[in-house]
Order: sequence, then structure tokens, then C-alpha cells
Amino acid sequence: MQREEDLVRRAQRREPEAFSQLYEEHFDRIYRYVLLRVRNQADAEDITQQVFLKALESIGSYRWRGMPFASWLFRIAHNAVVDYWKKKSREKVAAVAPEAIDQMVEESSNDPAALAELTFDVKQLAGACEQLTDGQREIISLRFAGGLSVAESAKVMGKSEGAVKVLQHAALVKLRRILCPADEESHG
Amino acid sequence: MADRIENILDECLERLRQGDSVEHCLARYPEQAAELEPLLRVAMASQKASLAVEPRPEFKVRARNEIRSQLHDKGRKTEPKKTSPVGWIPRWAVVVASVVLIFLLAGTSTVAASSSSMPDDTLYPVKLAAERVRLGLSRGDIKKARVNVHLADIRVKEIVYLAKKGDSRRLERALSRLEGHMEAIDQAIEANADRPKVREALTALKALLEERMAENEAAIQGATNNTDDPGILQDVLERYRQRRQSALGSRVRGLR
Repeated sequence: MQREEDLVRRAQRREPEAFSQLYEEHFDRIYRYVLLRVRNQADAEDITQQVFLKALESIGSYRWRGMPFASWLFRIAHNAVVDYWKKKSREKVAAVAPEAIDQMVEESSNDPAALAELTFDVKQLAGACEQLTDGQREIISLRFAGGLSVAESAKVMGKSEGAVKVLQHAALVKLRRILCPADEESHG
Repeated sequence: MADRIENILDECLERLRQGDSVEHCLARYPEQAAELEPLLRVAMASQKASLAVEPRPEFKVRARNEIRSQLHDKGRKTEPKKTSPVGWIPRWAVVVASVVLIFLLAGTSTVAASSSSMPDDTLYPVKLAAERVRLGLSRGDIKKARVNVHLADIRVKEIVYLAKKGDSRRLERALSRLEGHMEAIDQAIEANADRPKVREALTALKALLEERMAENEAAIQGATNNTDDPGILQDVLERYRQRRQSALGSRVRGLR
């Protein structure tokens, strides 16, 4: 934590290496979060890049107290995703669904045995997340794609940690119902 | 008192994240095991599915180069200040000099006239520049936040004006600026919420914010009845309400 605080301060003083390090540390998780939220590889890449450009632009106004850096960065990502869906709904363009995710998984895995399982899992997860409420989808994306803690997720969402845990529980119950209906039937 | 299932679930998820097994977690909570097990397995599968995805290498390289280019440009922009023969001049003096320069170049009457300009007016850039100078002159987070509250009011008026004109392109930009002001207010509140010395100032800021946001919401709501395309303003209203909820979140509500 101290190390990251130090890095952020140096990045605020415009030390290029410091921001580069922050960028490398958070890039993949921001990408995964955005991808699960927008479900389109090309758009996820654009948005991820925008997030870091915005972060670079506004890092000077970031204050450490009360808001962990990861939460601040993910809040920028969250707002970018919200803006994306607002534009999409105005353009009345349907979200690209499974094909984009299939392609993305094929490019990231070379193991044929694992491929089928992964394709199945990612495709199902993205499809299942579409059936969650906004808050539930957000918590799944933040916690499992973004790797944020409950405390960090609470800061991003502007909710208490208790509320986030309730959302997390509800989201997992629903995901289980969607992803494992047979399991649900046998166990109740 | 029995622990709630949400807390038990979260504790188990944290244990799994640290390398513990599902079986160990279930052994700790035998009464909840039947309910817990499928949820833990779904959580692990979700995480595994997410982590299996990696950004394309070509994209990573392209994005990294773009960021480095921006870092380099920003570094070059800051260098002249450090090496300038007048680099010893304090920041406040530079800001004051900027104000004088704007008045000299634009003329005091021009700057005054620009204050009521709208985004489709030619003087609008002068208005924005004057606002930036005003923000730069404000010392401290709370004072800056108060200026941002005032600027947010101005953005709402601009948004209502642009919605009536049907200028969605400029409206998006005005909305983006509005969100920038709200974000700055939010961050100022977050950063100072634990400082007892500014408690009174934060309470006053909160009261101002509540009052202004309520009026602005009413203004946007009213404008939806007077426009040909209420959809745009409905979007704006929704985003404004989200910002209101965020800015007047738990940390500020705790202030009395």
C-alpha cells in the first residue's frame, strides 16, 4: 500500500516511469472488467485505452485519503462503461454477443482441452451476467474480473461494504440459478 | 448472534483468494455448507473464466506506446516551467498573470460578455478559460469544490439550453464537463471526510450541494416538458441523479 501510494505521488509529479508502472499493474484487470461489461473486444480495447488516458489527465486531482487508487481507476472505468451503454442505447445498436467472446477466447488460449471449457465458461458467464441487475453485474465484474476487494468495490459503487456483500450474495445466487439449473433442481 | 450468510460467503471467498480450499471453508461452516458450496464454486468458475482472458498482445503494445507518447508530451510541456528564467515565480503569481493576460487580450468587456455565453457562441472559449483561471485561483480542496458547485450550475443551464436547441453534440460535451465538476466535488469530499479541521466547511459544502443539486434536477426535469426530444434530457437527468447519489453518499450524509 505504501509502495503504491509512493508510486501515485511520483506519477502526480509527472514522473513517467511511475505512471507506467501503475499502468502495467492495473491494465489487465481494467481490460477484463471492461470486457465483461461491454462484451465486445474492439470496444473494450478502446474503452480501456480511454480509461488510462483519462487517468493520466486527471491523476493530479486524485487524493489518497478515503479512496484507494484502484477504486479511483475503476470508477473512471465504470463511468466510461456507463457512457458507452448510454451511447449504444441512443444509437439503438444491439450489443455484440457470443461471437466476439469466442474469438477473444480462441486468441488467448492455446490448450485445446481447456479451450472448450473456457469458451463455455466465458460465454456462459457473459450471457448470464446479462440477466443480472445493474448492481449485481457490476459487483461480479469488479470482484471477479477486476479482482477488487469488497472495500475497494464499495468505493467504486458508492455503497457500504455491507450493501456490497448483499449484492455479491444475490448475484452469485442468481448466477448459480442461470449457469447450473440442473444443480439447482437436484439440490433445491 | 449467527453471522449473516453474506458475511460468511465473503469470508470464504477471501479465504479461497488466499489459496484455501472449498472443503476447508465448508468445514468451518457446516450448517451453511449446503448453501455455500454451489455459490463458492460459481464464484471460482467466474473468476477462472475472467482470468482466462488476456488482452491481445498487439493491443497492449499499441496502448502502451500511446500512453508513453502522452507521458512524453506532458513531460515536455512541464519542462519549460522548470527551466524558464522566471521559473522561480510562484504558482499564484502565474495564475494572476494569466488573468491579466486574458483581460488584456480579450478586453474586460469581452470577458464580462463571455460569462453569459453559451456553448454555441464564439465567446464560449473565453468563458471556459476564465472559469479555469477562477479554479486555479481557489486555494484548497473545499474552496475549489465550492467553485465547482457554481460551475456545475452553469453547465446545467447550458445543457438545458442545448437540449432545447437539439444540439446533442455540444450537449454531450457540456455533460462531460458537468461530470468533471461533479467528480472534482466528489473527490474533494472523499479526500477531506476524515479531517476534523474542515468538518464545518464540509458540512456547509454539503448543504450548498444539496440545495443546488435539488434545484438543478428540477430545472432539468422542467426542461424535459419543453423540448421536442425529452429522451436526451431524461438521460442527462438519470446521470445527474447518479452523480447526486454518489456526491451525497454515505461519507457526506454522516456529516451534521
